[in-house]
Amino acid sequence: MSAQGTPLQLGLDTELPPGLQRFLYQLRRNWSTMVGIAIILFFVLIAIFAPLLATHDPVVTNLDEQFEPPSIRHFFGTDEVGWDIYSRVIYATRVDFFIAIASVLMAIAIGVPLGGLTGYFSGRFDDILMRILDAFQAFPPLILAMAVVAALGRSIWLVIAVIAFINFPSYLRVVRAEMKSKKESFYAEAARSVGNPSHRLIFRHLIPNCLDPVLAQAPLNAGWAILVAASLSFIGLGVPIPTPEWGSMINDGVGGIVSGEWWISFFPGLTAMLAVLGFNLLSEGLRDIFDPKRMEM
Amino acid sequence: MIEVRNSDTLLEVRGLHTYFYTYEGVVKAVNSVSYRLNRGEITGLVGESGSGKSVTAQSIIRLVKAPGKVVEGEVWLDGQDLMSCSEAEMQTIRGRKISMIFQEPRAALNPLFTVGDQISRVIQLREGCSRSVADSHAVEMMRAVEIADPDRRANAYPHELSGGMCQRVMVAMALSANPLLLIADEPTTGLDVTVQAQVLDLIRLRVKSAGSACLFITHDLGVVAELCERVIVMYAGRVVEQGPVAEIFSSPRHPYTQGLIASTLRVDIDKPISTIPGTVPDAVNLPSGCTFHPRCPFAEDLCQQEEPQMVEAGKNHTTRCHIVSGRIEREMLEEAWTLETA
Repeated sequence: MSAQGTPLQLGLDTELPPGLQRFLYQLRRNWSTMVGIAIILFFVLIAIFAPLLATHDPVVTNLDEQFEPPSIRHFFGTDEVGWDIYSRVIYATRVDFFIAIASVLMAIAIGVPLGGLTGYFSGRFDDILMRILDAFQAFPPLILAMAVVAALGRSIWLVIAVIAFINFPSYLRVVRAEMKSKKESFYAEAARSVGNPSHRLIFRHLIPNCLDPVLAQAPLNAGWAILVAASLSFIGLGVPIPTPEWGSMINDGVGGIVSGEWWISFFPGLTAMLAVLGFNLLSEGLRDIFDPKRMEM
Repeated sequence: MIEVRNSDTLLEVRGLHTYFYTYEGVVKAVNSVSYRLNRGEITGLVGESGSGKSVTAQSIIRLVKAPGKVVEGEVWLDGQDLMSCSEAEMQTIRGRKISMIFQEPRAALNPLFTVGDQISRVIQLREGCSRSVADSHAVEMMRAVEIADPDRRANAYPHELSGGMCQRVMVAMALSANPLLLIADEPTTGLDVTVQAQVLDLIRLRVKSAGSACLFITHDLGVVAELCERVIVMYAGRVVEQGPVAEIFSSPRHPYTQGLIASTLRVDIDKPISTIPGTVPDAVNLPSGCTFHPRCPFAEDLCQQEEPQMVEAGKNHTTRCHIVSGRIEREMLEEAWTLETA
């Protein structure tokens, strides 16, 4: 398969489906996406093969090996209860990625259809909904998350729900804005004129056309979700201990930074940063790849 | 007043009023419009921008956008009053009995679906057949509208095709439903002339062979002369003249129609291009009496005071003018148009 020629010809010359070919074609032309995808893929593999990669049980304490610096036995050292930082960072990938992806999917599942409907029908319903969202978004998101978690208790699902709840207005807004212009388009009029009822027009014709900004925003929000989850855990309101999680691990090591045990916070912090970077690079690239209007580039 | 030809009449529009309720006031976009379309005939609907051509079409399929509203009137399609249909019934009529072809074909196609897919979906909806049957049917339709290599083109997205190609796809889509009525809203604007001619031939061929009626909206009089049997001329939301194409072009009776025809470019005659002085009136504050009187070279006091009624001007030929009706006795000289611009 060659990268020359237009995507259209590519699609006809070979066996691979045109969509996948276009994806590969764009991928080759965009290194930041490649790096982003590589990072995310790397983390996904770590999450899947965590039991094979970990050298120690992430939740079994070992008081004989407190505050060990990084070594062959403990790659990233140990903390005050003898937890192996390396193994915990590995297992925390599962938790943090699950939170990131689940919360983004939940936010999309709420925000996109609601944004499509309110953008399409406008009117009174739209006005009321948008004012409610304004009120919610007036709260600093982290304070809102803290309040909810503090009131309802700590669990992974609650953290996911809270992050989804903070994020869904942004999906709603972008889809609503796109819908407002797309519903006036000629193809919407054409679809109406061949007898499509409103629901099919909205969900089949218009919402798919409003997804470009959502695709670009989703990885960005996933990275942000990791930060929020870590922040919540850092202040002790996120995923309960002893479940390994980057934020709570950073928190565990805060005291050690001044007394010389830098590794306790450093490695989970570095990993979280890398994950967020991966999502951000991916976000930038996805916009170009999935946008069929830029296919001929 | 118009000769009744019931057997042939497919669509009859009676006293249609479509108003837009805007902040500035009520815009009477379509004002007391009546006409009928016959089976197997192509009827041209001409007029300047803003004369209500497109709104007339939108009113027929009941897709006038807010703040517009059909206030009054009846639209009878094949013995059924569309204005009293429920919205659900209307959805089955759109696409099945009435199809539309839009201007700007590329914009009228959904950018996320392949063109074959879009035609196929229309067929699936109409026939209720399986996807694979509809797909092959769609390729046949694309072949029928003379798209080269339809198997391959069916998998193309709208942006991968040229404007002319997209318009063929639109035509294929509109005709795949075998509609009783085809509404073509300036389907050839933006296409180059050779492609234009092909698209027109295609429409003519399909309308004639299927015995459907076609309402062809355009401001291109050349296209009307070539394609249509009848013409309806609209001005400021009203029909000012309608009749057979040959008669309208050879002896236009309404001053506005005369002006339109005089202002087309003629290469065979050495004369300056004339224009109709002034502009289309403000839709909110229409002139009193005959809406055309401020621009009419023959206007007299009566034109300002009283609105002219539709009168017969020939066989199947009606117009709305005080001079034709004989209320004003005056000659309408063709020179009036060339004098205005000289």
